[in-house]
Amino acid sequence: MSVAEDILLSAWVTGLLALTTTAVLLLVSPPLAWWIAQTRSRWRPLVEAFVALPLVLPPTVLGFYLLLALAPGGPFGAIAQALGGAPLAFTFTGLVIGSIIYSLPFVTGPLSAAYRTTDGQLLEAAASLGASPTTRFLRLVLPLHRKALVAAGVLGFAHTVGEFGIVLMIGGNIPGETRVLSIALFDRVEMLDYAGAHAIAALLLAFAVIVLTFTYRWLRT
Amino acid sequence: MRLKAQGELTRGPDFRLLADLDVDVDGVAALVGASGAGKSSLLRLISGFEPHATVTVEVDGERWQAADRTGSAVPAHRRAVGTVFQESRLFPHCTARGNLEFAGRSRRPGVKLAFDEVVHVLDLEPLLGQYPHELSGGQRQRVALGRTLLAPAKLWLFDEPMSALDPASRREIAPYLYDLCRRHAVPIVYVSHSLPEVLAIADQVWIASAGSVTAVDSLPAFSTALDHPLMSDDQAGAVIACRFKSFDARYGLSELVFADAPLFVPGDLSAVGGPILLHIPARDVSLSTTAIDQVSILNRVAGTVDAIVQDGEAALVRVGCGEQSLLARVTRRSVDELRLEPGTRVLALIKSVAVRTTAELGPQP
Amino acid sequence: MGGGQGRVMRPTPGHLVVAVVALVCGAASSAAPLRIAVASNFQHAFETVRTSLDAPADPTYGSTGLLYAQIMQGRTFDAFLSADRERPLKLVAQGRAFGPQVYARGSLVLLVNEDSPGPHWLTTDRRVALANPQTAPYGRAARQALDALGASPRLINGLNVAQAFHFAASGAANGAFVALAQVTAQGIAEKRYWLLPDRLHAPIEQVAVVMHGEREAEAQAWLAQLLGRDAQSLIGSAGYRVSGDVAGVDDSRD
Repeated sequence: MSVAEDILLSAWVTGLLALTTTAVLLLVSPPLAWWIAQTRSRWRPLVEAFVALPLVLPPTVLGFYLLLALAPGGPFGAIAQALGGAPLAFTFTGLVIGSIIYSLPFVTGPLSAAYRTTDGQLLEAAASLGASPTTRFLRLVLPLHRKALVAAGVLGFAHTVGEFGIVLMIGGNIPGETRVLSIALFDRVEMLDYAGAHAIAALLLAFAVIVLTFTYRWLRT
Repeated sequence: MRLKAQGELTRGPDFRLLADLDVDVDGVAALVGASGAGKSSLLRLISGFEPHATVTVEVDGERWQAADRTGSAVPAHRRAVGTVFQESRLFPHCTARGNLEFAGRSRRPGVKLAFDEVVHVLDLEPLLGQYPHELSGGQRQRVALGRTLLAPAKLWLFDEPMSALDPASRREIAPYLYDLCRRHAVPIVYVSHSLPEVLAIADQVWIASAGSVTAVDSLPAFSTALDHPLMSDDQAGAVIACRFKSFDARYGLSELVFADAPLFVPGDLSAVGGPILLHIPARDVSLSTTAIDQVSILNRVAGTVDAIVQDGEAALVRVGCGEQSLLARVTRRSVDELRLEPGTRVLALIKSVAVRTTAELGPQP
Repeated sequence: MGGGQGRVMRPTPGHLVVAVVALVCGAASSAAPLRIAVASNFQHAFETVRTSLDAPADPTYGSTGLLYAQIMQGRTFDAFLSADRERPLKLVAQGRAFGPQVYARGSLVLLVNEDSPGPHWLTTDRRVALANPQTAPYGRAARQALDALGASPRLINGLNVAQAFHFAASGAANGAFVALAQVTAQGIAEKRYWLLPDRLHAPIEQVAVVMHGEREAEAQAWLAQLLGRDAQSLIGSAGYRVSGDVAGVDDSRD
């Protein structure tokens, strides 16, 4: 495999991983963020803490535990095997699970902050019109904060693209399956292939700058 | 429809209300009371916006929430109650049509007007494609009104729907609102602090004070009780009950009888059966201690001063005329110069143009 | 220098003061420990052997590639104990280091999560971790062995043998190609690993060099002691093979 092929394949895996992760997060995060934003449950601080863990924990800590969880003897791995699948460690699916956990606060956090600003008067009005909590969320809260949703999605995507520590711990660096750009970059440095490393690093940098620039510009319109 | 809300409502350390509402709504019930009397809070309790309050809420015998929190409160969206708020509360991300359509989705029981009918009655057609920020205050409130009518409901709560509007917007929306009240499909509780408004729409009047609500059985007596909560309002005035006598087509004036004196009001009121209620704003009544012949004021009623209270820079004088009373707002200087005191015989001069007639609505005097 | 044999150096407040003074003055002091870059796989052995050497050493453990990159970026070490041959020789070629010597020969083992591994164990349904063959000497040796055996299990690439070991230890992989030194250090039962015969892979020669610098003479003496009989015996018991004559390395030997 040539360097260019290696980079392209890693970029493909990276893009697919970020897309899959973002798609799942865009399904999971809004309801979770809404729950956090408006619940009176005494469990909220605990749930918030768990969601925020990846913000403060080194990714390697998460990766360390995730590897145990994804291993055949671990909870995730056992579930996957019970469902007839292969163990999740060192698979793309395992990587998606890790990325979801790792990027969760980057999507859920901004969303719940936005949702907290929801005008309670509008929610009351919707309730008085017969809208159930689910309808209020889907037809009022979501569209009212659609910019926050897009911004959170972009952040989650970009963050997943830049992920390294967890992938390093649970990925197994398998070309075409779990070797992402950040790992490929690390490999290039280890191999003293600084030209290849430059190519990957520049690619990631350009991606981040472009995505963030367009997002911020869009958010202002 | 029987409404009950009894218990204690607290919101933060500074707000505590002992709710004591137990009334039968029939037609349009006006709920009046000074600000802070708990009118809006009572409506919120019925709507289901205070699910954590230790208040028992019952509507037609159905328990919606219990003060002792036995069972869970019926959530707001399942209560067949439509509310028009002080602010329009339109959803900013939807057009007027989107706002109206939002309401039509609920499947809770209750009366629900047809979309086309609501659009027609409230003249909403030209507004349908516009977003709330493109509408004037009055237009927004009209859309909000329509939105409420489209959601199934067995009871409508109107919480001072015009109080946040400027006078022009108020004039724009009032006809729609009053027409709606007259054609009401379900019982309406209408919070107001305007006596003319109450007179224009209400079948019943309730007064709220410190959370408890009592029915007003005589509007004339209520309106001239000098301690009632609307008295300091600019719109203080007496509600009087008159009898129709004749209509003079030449001048377009109806002649009514009030306390054995003739009262001339514009328009043909011959079709009104029974007593006619009029609201006479205190500021439109002047007092004289001598008979005057040559003034433009047609309506003069003789009476006796029976109470005087200071009202800011002015004084509010209650004049007994037979079994009813009028209110007059005069300067304190006039009180001194005319040497007004309880027992003084006076002539009350009423500008006929200031007389507001009601339709056949209103409680019996 | 030149303290008595077996003298144990422990950091004391006095040492600290001297070290600080040395730093402040910017002058090399014989009391400051030598700064040694040590490949991670040698960590356990190094801890065993360092106290038997006269001069105190301050090791920095890391992957060979990372340590090499740091040296290239200007980090100062007095000696470099690499896991491979290539990088020390590159440093020599660049004139940054001198005196390359094989200080230990690694032995590759297949560690598994069950008993009695051997060539037959490497079936296609097994997931076997190895150090990155492109960058790590044990990974390259593992790759050579797999090719020689014609085995093709599912391969999981760890960064280095330490991570390959972790992949297996966590249960996520069924087994891993690791260094004999690791299983020795961890006290793993012999029945759980298979020591691969030498013929299956090129020798894993770990080469040390002395870095050019103000303390190169001290470092050279320290390295000579590491290559001496006593130290080599300790290294041998830590899971490395040592030969009686620790010959110098040059490119012609490949």
